[in-house]
Amino acid sequence: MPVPPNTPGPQSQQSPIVSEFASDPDMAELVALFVQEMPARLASLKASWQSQELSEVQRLAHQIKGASGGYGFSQVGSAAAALEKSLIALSEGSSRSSTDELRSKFDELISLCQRVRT
Amino acid sequence: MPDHESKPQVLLVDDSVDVHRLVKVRLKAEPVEIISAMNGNDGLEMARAVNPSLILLDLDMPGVDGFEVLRKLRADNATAPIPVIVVSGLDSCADKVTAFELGAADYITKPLEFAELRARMRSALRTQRLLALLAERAEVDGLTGLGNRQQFNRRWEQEFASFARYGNPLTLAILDVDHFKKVNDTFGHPAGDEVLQGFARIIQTCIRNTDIACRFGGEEVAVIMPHTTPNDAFIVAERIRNSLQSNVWPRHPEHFVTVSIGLAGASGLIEGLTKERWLEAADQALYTAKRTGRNRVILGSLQPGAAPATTASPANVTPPAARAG
Repeated sequence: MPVPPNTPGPQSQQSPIVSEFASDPDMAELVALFVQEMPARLASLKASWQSQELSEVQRLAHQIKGASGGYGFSQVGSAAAALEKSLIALSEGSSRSSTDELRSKFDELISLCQRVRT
Repeated sequence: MPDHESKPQVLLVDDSVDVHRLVKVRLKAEPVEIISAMNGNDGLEMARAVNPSLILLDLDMPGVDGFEVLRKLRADNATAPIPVIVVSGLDSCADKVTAFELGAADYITKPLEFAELRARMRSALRTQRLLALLAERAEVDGLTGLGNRQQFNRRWEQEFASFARYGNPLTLAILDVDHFKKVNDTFGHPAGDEVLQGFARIIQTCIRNTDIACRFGGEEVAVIMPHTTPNDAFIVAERIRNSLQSNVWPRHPEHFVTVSIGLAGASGLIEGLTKERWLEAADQALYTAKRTGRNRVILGSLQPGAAPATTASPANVTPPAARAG
């Protein structure tokens, strides 16, 4: 699914992302919980980003990566994994991740996260 | 339907609430009980406290990480045998190799595929069951079903350690079938085997299930009786002696079999006592029983410097098999 990389805004509300397990009755409650807790996750993610605490951003991305797949949001998980990878490369001093690249991966994750729905 | 208690316990150690929630829902149809620890230290503590059948361990945790938990689990004899499946978002080859080198049984990466997790979990539990069975079999005497020498050594060390620490009563009995060679020579080895099996069965019915009976080899059996004073053990030993001497053997109904028994026990702490000295005292008592006519129970002394084998059994009744006496 094509996602505008740098523009998390009103458009991001457009196409909701629904869990791959939406029809699994065992999972309904958990998916709802995950979606319900998403705004809080997003808030901490943004706050850490704004205060340049990249290690905290990395930790949160790692958490989202681990959790999203399990709740049936693999797209979100992949975006979180990509961001985590770039941050690891950055902290290891690899020149491969530019600030722009990082920025676009962060924005993509935010955008996807904002679209999760039950 | 197996009851709650009998389900194998699986300890999940992960710092993510999400993983705990997901695992609980996704494994709810499995015949296991999931218990949770949110960090490495709690995980180690719970592993020691509940001795789970399996541990699912996250690697990447703040504080004590998964590698450290693995190391500590392996370093502790109580937790070392518990199989560990590492569940991790780190999927580098080096991490996998390290995990296996530290003793992990298996490795699965996040995001979790639950069908895969269930399959790997079942496989690890299956292996664990077989290993436990093997360990148990390795300590069982093939002929009699009693413990073997190895089991005796392990349990005697444990029970002696408990005695040395808490001073609880403890008695050791050594039993030796009288003139066993004669049974073998007269009626053949199958008859001898039957005597040993019957002897073992009688011992098992006379002792408590907390007592530990092990075949020392040949026709000699040792019984460890925890929380049993020498006097109480004497009663048990007499019961075994009586049952055996009155047992009728299908292969040789005219030939009865008797046993001599040496006991050494303590009702409380004895200064300077070693487990070797204790075994020796029981052996000495057995020797005295043999020397003074067989088919009797002798209670030896554990007091330092005391003359061994003082109390004779009231076995002055001539057994039916006088020639075996």
